[in-house]
Amino acid sequence: MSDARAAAAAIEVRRLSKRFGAVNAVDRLSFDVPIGSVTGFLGPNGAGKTTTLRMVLGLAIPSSGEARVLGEPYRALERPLSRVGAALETTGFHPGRSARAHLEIACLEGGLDRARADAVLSLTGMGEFADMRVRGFSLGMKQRLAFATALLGEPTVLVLDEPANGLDPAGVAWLRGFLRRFAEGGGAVLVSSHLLSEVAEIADRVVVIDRGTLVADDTVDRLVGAGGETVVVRSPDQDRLRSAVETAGGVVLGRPDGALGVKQLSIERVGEVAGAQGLVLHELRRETASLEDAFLALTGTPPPPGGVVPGAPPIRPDVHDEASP
Amino acid sequence: MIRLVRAEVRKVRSTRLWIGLGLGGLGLTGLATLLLLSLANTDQGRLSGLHPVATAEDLRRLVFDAAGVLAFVLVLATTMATSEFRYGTAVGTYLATPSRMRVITAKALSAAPIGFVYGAVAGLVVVLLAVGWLAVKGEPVPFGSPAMTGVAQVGLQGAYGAVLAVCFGALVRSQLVAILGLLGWLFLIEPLATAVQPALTRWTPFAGVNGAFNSTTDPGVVLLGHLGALALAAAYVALLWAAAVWAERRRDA
Repeated sequence: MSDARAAAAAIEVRRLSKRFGAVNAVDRLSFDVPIGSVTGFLGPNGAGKTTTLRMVLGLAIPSSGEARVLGEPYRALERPLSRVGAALETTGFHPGRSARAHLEIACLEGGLDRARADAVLSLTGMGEFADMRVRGFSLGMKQRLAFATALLGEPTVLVLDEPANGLDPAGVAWLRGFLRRFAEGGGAVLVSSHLLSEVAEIADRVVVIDRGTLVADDTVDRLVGAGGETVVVRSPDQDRLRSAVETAGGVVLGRPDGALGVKQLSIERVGEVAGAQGLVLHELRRETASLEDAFLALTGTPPPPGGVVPGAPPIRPDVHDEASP
Repeated sequence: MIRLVRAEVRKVRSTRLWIGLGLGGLGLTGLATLLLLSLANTDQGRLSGLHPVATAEDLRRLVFDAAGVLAFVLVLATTMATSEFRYGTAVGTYLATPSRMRVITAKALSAAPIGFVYGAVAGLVVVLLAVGWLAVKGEPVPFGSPAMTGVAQVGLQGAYGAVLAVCFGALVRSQLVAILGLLGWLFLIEPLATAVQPALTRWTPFAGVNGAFNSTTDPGVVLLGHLGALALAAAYVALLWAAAVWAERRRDA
């Protein structure tokens, strides 16, 4: 690998595979996470996202292939917490330990100043819960604590597994802004998520995997743009409208809401065709594909249960979650 | 390595388990001490081989026999390793320190002083209770350096047990299996095996290694000498440490 490429990629994954018995959880996966970007890591449940992240972080041993972080295998990094911050779904907390104790232990292990514990508690809105034992924490509070742990060493690379899970809307908005600023400041973020709308808003690039293999690795704009534009049109006389649009060269798709979806004609042309036929229109608008559409087209599966479709309100955290970062 | 050892000690101090196990161990030690002292002057006690505490050497022996904290040390040290897997905190530990060897070494090095303190405090409790008991009875108090040697011996036994247990916990990972395995060995398998075949005793990880700290009260058993038993203890620790490091390097966290 050239120095220029190594310098540009914070994380390099090359033909990474992981087998569990006869099952290929990850199969010859390759992608880069560039510095100065947020890369979304998407895939249906069981696609191999968490296994991939665990291999990147040296927590799981690849069956073949390799992953490098800042040019080295994670296990070879000196003082890794100062270079890579990670929050995985599998990251646990001792229920009898307070948030502050958890962070101070991580500071000791990572060779960091203990004052960092209070700094990240404050940053993530966990200051008032610092001395509370983790067994009393909600999912959202545990997410904040995991994120606080990832930020302890002021790293340049963040690897986050479903970081918005359980956060309240204010928390999700804060996280979105933080990750954008982090990347703009020269950091690199690899974030797996089921929240496609969130990924669409914060990610520059998206890596999509399905059954352990890569199905897409591109910018969000290009991935969404590949789905093209659809003109949504509705008339009291749908049959005549359909016929006129098809005659003009449009491809008409039925929609569950009864309107017609028109491809290969511009919105202006659809309006002209309807006008020429004297058709009354009740609806005429442009609709662009969403990341969810692209995800569905690439993986052939709906977003996993618990995922939030675009436009739906984020999940509310359960009890205790009153801090807003 | 020092900061990793400090982190491991902090992990133990940050939960309440060490307090509960410490109080349990000291409570058992107190009961055992009072029981042995009260039985020592009876016919039944004499038949059981108990001696009244008349000399400093008797007091040292009482310390070693009554300090019943080893099982509690084994449980605490085992959880130092197994709770990392039970609660998933091993992920954070290995993210901070990817070297499995350094993590397990730090756990072993931190378990040793914790085990020593448990053992030594239990030994001191025995000495204090015995001194108080004899003073109340109006009998001479044979306090001297052998008693303190006994306290140090019990401390060393605790340190050895803790290191052994933390390595075994890292090897096994399952908290339940590791604790039941160690206690089962200590209270069931080793006593049964050595009862059937006394010649085995000198090679066992608990009774055999006692040769390094004390001599057996059973005249039919000949333990290794101090140096031999110390070498045996070191061999058990090295074996379990190496096995735990070898296994952890090949397993996913």
